[in-house]
Amino acid sequence: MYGDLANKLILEAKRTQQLNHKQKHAQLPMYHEDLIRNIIKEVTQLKKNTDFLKDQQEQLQNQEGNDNGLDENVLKCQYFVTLLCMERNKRCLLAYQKLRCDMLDSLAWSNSNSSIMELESNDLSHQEQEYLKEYGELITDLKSGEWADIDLSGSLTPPSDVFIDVRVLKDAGEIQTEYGVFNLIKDSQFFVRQSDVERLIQQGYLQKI
Amino acid sequence: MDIDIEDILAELDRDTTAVDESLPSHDEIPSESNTTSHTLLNNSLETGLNNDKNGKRITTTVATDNNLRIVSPELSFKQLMTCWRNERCAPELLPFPHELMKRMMSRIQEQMEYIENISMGFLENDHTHYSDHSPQDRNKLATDDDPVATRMNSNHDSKLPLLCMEAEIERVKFVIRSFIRCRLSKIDKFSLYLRQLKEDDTNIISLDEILSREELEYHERHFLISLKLLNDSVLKYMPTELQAINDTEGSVNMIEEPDWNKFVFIHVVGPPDGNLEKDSSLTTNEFNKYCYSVTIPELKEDVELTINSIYVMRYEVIRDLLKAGKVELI
Repeated sequence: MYGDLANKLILEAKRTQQLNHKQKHAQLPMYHEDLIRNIIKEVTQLKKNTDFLKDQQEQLQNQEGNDNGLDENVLKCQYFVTLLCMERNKRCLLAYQKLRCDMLDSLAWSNSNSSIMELESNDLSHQEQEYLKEYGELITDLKSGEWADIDLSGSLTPPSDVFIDVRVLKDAGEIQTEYGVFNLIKDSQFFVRQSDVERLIQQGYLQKI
Repeated sequence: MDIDIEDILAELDRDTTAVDESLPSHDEIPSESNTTSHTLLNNSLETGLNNDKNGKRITTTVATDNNLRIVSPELSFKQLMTCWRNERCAPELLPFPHELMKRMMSRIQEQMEYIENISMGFLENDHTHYSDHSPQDRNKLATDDDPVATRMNSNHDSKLPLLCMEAEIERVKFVIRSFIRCRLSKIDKFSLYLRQLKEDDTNIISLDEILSREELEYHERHFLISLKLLNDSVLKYMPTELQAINDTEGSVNMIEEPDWNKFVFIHVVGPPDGNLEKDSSLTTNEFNKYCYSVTIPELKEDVELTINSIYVMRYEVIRDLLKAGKVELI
């Protein structure tokens, strides 16, 4: 039946959502291009049907006199159901797209310029890549505006310690931060101010102890 | 015979100390003359805390309806915390606290500069930063800044105040960051609804009041790019009658409104100025306690909200009380 394909898409969306729930930095699964294309094909088909139905209705109206009341009702019903099918498909497609949209948003907030985004860009549709880029720009603009003093994309866990111990997870050589230079040698430990290394923890170089 | 002289004593107390009741007494409270002169100078409604020449902190005053309210940094932080909590718990987007945020932002900037200046004082031995300054210059700089800085200068090894200031500023920044992020996520969620508000002329509250300038811009731009995405990937292929993104006629309403009936925890704090008698919506119940009485329209049930107690209540019911600051969400 019509709408079954869309149902499949929604199940996919649900799975993505659950996947996202479990791990923090869940990857966005591949964009279901084929399925979506099929649904859109179905919509085009339905659209043709409605056009056909409309034509028929006009014909019926033209040949007056006959007792076509029954036929007219049947046509109306058919037209309405087709419309509902299309609406259903639209809803499913939008829901799927919106979910991906939201995930892209959170991705853009969590690490706006790290490598994960490039890794994933194969899985995104062309439009999504464009969207992600534009949204990234929007965030950058927002951060450099009035609220520049507050690093908006910074950590959302309240700062409980001023100084923390961190362990270096990845060799990164000498890294320049705003506040000074660190020599990140693998498996070394530092006792540093939290605000200095927050960025590096987010990017996965350091681990908080 | 007992003569009650409480009120006379209260009058006496007010005279000598001139302390606002809501504030604990400490050096941040200016004397009365100081306040008025400052008001005249500052033309009120100006940004927050300044350090005057004596190094004493002055609190600015804000004129609301001709009565002066003292705004100390402490009080505005309290207000910020309330705003933050309310925003996090409320289902709808609350109006943006324009004045408060302006004050907080300028204060953060000042404090950050201040910390920077103090920590410069610590770099006494490090001449790389200061090669063009003579030591006298540096000392003068510190003295001009603030007496605290000089005190710190004479006593380098005590870094505790500096540490506290930094920790403090981190905390304030966290609260503001969390506040704004929370609002932004709500803006994303109610994007279409807010747009509808904007187009609707009969609306009582304007969008400029709900959102700040940055948020307005964010809303606009994010709406446009997500609309573009949805248009290109889905809506383009739909028949013309189904191409609208904000369709309210269909079987499902596409504009998501805030869930007005969401249950929220509230703490009834009473009128913001603490004056129970003046509040006309307050009544006393049979136990002689002050309470607000509200009605839940669907159940046709009246509820008494006694002051200083906690309830779980529908948001719609307490919305007006929340706007007036008489209850807080927790």
